[in-house]
Amino acid sequence: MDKLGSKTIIGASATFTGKIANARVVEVHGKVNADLIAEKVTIGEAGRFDGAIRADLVVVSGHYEGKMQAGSVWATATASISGKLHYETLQMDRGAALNCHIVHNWRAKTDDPEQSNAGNSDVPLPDASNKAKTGTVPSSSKKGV
Amino acid sequence: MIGKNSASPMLSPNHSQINVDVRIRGTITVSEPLVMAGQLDGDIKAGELHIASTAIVSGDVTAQNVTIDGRVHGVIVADEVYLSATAHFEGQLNCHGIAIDNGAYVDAKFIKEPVTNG
Amino acid sequence: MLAKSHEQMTNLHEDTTYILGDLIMEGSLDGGNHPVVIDGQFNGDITAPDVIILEQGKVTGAINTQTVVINGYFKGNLVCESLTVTSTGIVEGEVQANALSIDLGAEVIGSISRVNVKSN
Repeated sequence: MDKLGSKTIIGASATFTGKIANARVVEVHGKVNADLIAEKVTIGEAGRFDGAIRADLVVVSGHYEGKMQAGSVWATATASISGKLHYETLQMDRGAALNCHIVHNWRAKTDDPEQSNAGNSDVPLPDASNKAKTGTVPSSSKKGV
Repeated sequence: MIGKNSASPMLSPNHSQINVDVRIRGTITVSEPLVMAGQLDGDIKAGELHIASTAIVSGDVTAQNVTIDGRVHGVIVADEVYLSATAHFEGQLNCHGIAIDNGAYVDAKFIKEPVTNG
Repeated sequence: MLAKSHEQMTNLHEDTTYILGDLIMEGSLDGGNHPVVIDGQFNGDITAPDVIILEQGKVTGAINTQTVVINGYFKGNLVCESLTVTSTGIVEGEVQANALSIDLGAEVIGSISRVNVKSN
């Protein structure tokens, strides 16, 4: 596209409640109450997202509550994540607050009914090791079931 | 072609003109271009029609192209209608093409009509 | 009016809400204090100070706003102070507006009446 591309931005004072489909890149600086499947999702520092997110990449600088299933997650210093966080790779900056149920390599688990691409690995049930890459992890990292 | 780019779209040597101080109660039917600057209580049937800024028309207008600078209260059936900034229109508009300038007063129902070859 | 939409188009501003591309949104959107620019699909209601529907944009539902510029498609109820429909715009439904600008080529089907009470 010549000018704008297909980025969706929910502005800082905006509020959206409803359904979102066909998204690719979404930036949330306002309040969103929805379920979202996208390639890349950014929740800005003032942003607030309530609902399920399924994405390849999620960058959280604001508030998220819900079930997140992502490939790569980056929780920056101002992030606050509650609910469920299923990730493949996770980067957490110092200061991020994770108050959620964290599952690593969730795609490999066969007990997750929502996963569409069940990893062909026959990984036996949870031996889950949550490999947070950096920072202190004030999270309750439970083994995922 | 009507529109904001044409200053005086309808005037040609053979046009009819009804001046500002004329008041008519009845029906006007004309095949040549018409400039209506007076007051009409009734209907107009015309080809090319210019309703000037001093005009007040209460009735129905049927035409091919209409440029409205004045007041019309009624049903307009036309191919193309242009309401300029001084227009005041209430009623119903059955037309194919429409252009409205900022400033026009409009309170009307809009219906899209196929183009007539008249 | 159009100058404003050009400014919106060239600078992605993080206060403005953009719904672009193939995105399909259904629900209730409140733009807050900032404009909403739509190039994708939106079904539902929108409340914002300014709404711009770009050429590929399709909105069905209700819009309640101050100024709206429609380059694309809108069907539903529209309440605004000022409406601009450009030559690629299509508006179907009930419109309440006090200031109107409709370019030749635009399609307007339905009704346009005035807003008597300024609801801000």
